[in-house]
Amino acid sequence: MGLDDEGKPARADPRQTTAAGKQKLASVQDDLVGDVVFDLIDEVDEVAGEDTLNDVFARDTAIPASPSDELAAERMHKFDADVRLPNGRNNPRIPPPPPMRAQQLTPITLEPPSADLEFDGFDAPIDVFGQQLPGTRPAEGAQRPNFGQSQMPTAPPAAAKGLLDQSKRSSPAPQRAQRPAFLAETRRNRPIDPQLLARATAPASTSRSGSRRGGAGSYGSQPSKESALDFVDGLDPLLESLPPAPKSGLKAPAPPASATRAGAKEMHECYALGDFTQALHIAEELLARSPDDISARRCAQNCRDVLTQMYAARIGPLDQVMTVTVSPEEVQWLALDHRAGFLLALVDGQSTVDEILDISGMTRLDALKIIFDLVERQVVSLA
Amino acid sequence: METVIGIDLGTTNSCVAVMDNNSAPTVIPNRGGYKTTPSMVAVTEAGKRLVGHIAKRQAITNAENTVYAAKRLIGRKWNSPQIKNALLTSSYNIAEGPHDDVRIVLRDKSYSVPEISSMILQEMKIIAEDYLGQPVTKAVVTVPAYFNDNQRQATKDAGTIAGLDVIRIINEPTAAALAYGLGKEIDRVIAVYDLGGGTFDISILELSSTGVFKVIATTGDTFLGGEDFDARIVDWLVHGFQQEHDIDLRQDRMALQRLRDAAEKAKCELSSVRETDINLPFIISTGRNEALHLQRTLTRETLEGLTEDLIERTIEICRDALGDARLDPKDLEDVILVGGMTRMPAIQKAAGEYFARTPNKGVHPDEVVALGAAIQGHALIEDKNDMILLDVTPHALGIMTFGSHFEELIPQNTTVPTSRTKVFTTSRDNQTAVKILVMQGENDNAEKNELLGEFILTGLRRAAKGEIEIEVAFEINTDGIVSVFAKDLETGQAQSIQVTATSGLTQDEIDNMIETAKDYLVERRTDEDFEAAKQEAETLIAEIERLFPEVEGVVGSSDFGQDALGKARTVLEHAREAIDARGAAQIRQHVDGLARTQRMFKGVVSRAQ
Repeated sequence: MGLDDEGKPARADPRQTTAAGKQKLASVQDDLVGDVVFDLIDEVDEVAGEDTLNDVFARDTAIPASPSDELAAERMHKFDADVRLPNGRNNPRIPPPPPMRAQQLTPITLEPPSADLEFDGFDAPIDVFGQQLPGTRPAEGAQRPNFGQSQMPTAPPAAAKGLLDQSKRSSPAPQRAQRPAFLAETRRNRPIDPQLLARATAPASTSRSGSRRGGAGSYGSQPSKESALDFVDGLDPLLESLPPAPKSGLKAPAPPASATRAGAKEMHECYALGDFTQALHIAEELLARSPDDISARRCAQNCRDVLTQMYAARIGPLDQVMTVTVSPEEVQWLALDHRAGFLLALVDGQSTVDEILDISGMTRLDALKIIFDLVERQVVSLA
Repeated sequence: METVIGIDLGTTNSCVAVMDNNSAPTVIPNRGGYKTTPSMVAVTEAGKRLVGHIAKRQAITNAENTVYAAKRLIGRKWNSPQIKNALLTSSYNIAEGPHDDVRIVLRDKSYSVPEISSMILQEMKIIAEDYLGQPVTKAVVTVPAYFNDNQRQATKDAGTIAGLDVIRIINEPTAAALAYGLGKEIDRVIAVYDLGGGTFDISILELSSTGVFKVIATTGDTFLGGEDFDARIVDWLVHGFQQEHDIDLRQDRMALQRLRDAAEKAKCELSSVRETDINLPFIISTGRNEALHLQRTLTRETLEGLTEDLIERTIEICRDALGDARLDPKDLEDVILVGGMTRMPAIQKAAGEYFARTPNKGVHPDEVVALGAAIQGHALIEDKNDMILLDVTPHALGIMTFGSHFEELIPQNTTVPTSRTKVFTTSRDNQTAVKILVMQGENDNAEKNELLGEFILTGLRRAAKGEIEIEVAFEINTDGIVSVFAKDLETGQAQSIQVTATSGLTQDEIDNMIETAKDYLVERRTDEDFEAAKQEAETLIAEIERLFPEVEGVVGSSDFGQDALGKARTVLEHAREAIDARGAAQIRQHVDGLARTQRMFKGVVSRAQ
């Protein structure tokens, strides 16, 4: 169970008592979500009286461990429909993928923390550490559904290699060879609770993670095709309707209210699915158009907090001293952007991670992402 | 005996020195190993205070919240021309204080200038305390020779806020002369050429073996220093890059920060080598998902060509200073180079050519002022009279007379305590009152001097101009408090004023700032204690964990071994809990247990082998 800001235990999810299936979700959530949701807990009172089941910010715990069975089945069905077609993109129900993100969202040139955090292998099931499960290669020619991929790394940093190995040993192979991309993303995106990491190293007989992965087969119940496609249809018009980002500081015209509502819906969904980067992306997009959007601002802040915690947790103690491990001649052959180059220039073998964060001139989240990337690529070491 | 530190509180860099056990002055390096610390203070987005190198490294990327050159503002009035100039040039926010003083706003919090300077002094104090391993409470602080009483008082207040008792404020050129051991035996006239990071000062001193180091003339440019040399290199780099890639690096703060750092480094290197490579990979994005590198080679000749006019400017100012002192270069018996920039060979050559003698550069130019301050501090504590400088008035004191003329009563460099009297007359017919404007400075035009205070003497008899005589007396006591009396010699009616130098802060404000500074220090020390304890504990934990499997293999099969391993696990667990709780004292309670466990494990492993 997560703790709130004051260290009190988070209140129980009211859904736990509604149905057997949801009770199970709640227990999974306890395992996976950990402490990263506590920022939202205090917000419950603000939305009292609203439909607390539909508004993700109204829930005691806003990040479900996995989508509800219905939603999962719906998306599974949609995914299956995509891959069965010779070319999923020609499916008349799925509009061709316009380059919406590139045009409409603020481009972010950050490198992802590591290759395995990107959306490669999106359609292969992965374990909670973002590793592809054995024997689950993506289908040949499978196309990734257009969910508006973020350019920023979304998933939590991968767990330590030792833990990964152990968790793989203790985890049974999933029942289904292929799962929808968003499920994989969701699991990868979920912050890793240290307690969960500990459990992952426990013997398989006592690990609850095994049953979770085994439970992937329960997503096999297929809903109607329409419901799955409706979900996609509900997203893409939104993205198409968003006006292009303003150029050179000109104020963009106000978006239609329907587009804002749809954007907010998508933002909440991404947040609920644990895709914090995407949720942040959309929230920032909404804020750029409506700076007074309280919901977007709250979501953006929560996403930043969660992502910051995730990267900080992965990097480890921030009082570690950063040292460049490659020679100056080699540095220029690395694939870095200018922000990473700037951060690298700040590494002097004396300054701690915390000090580098202080002087980076970037937001803590951006700086942590870059530092994590540099560490992962063994450009810098921490000691 | 209590240790007194000497602090050179510079415009761009500060330095602290102390007399070591052999009575030789020593500069104390900071934690990074540098002997000078940038006089910069910044507040991060998270509200964290940064002082010194770390503040400098983010000075461009966080320009609005980084204070540099606070010394240019200290003790100044809000309406002074220097503040008006600073308002135009400073990247940080300057606001008017409640007492016609100046405040600096950092992240919505307002700080007085002495408060900012106190943060730098506090840093120097911490550096000294870490080095000496004992608390330091007394200091001698240096200021430019041209500082007036208010600026000196503000510097003293900064020391007080930092928890230092500033036992003496001395002039920078005087301190430099002391460090060179000049003035000990013979009287002589010397020039101190001080080209620092942000300012240039030239002072002509008349050294006396009696302990009075008279500043005959001092002048300079408060906007000429090493930063201007850096800027020339930056310009050169930016121009070259723009020609090659058509991208202006100045538009990107991160690029500019890197350019500044690289330019300073290259400049320093060129003092000892003839060429240096400037290599800045990934300096800027092309906007096409790739970043460009900057690679250039800078030679000493190129640098000298880029900065020729700056060097010439310093020589022009030297010419003016000697003109003020009515001296020729050949009248000087010594020339001292002060400030890191004087390491540049072209500057040494230019100064040598102008003064027609090889400049004295036996002491590190960026340390010499702090060393002189440490020598003076030691002499004051040891009561070595031959080394003690006498307290003198830094500027002349007088009043404004008819036609905005400044009438000097107490000349510059007069030893205190002192008193002088002069008789004045009325300037108009039937004048019944006179306004006494007390001023400080050397300019004949009173308006160009600093106004210290004013009062009116009334009740004069109506008479023709020049008939009524008014006696004006100036008195400076040992505490530096100036009292001015005006007396109508005919009626005996008198009026007076007491002028105390002020930094623009009330005593209550200073007291509050002292408390705030103490709180900061406690917080910082607590953090440092925690980090040290944590590091110690983590080292032991890591060693125990490394040995654990091996020990388990050796003793794990016995009941005794299982018991011991269980206890070891408990020790580790408690130590980790203490680290999580961030309590230095709690961690230390477990360090002994960890050390014992580590010894035991090592013993088991060594026996097994």
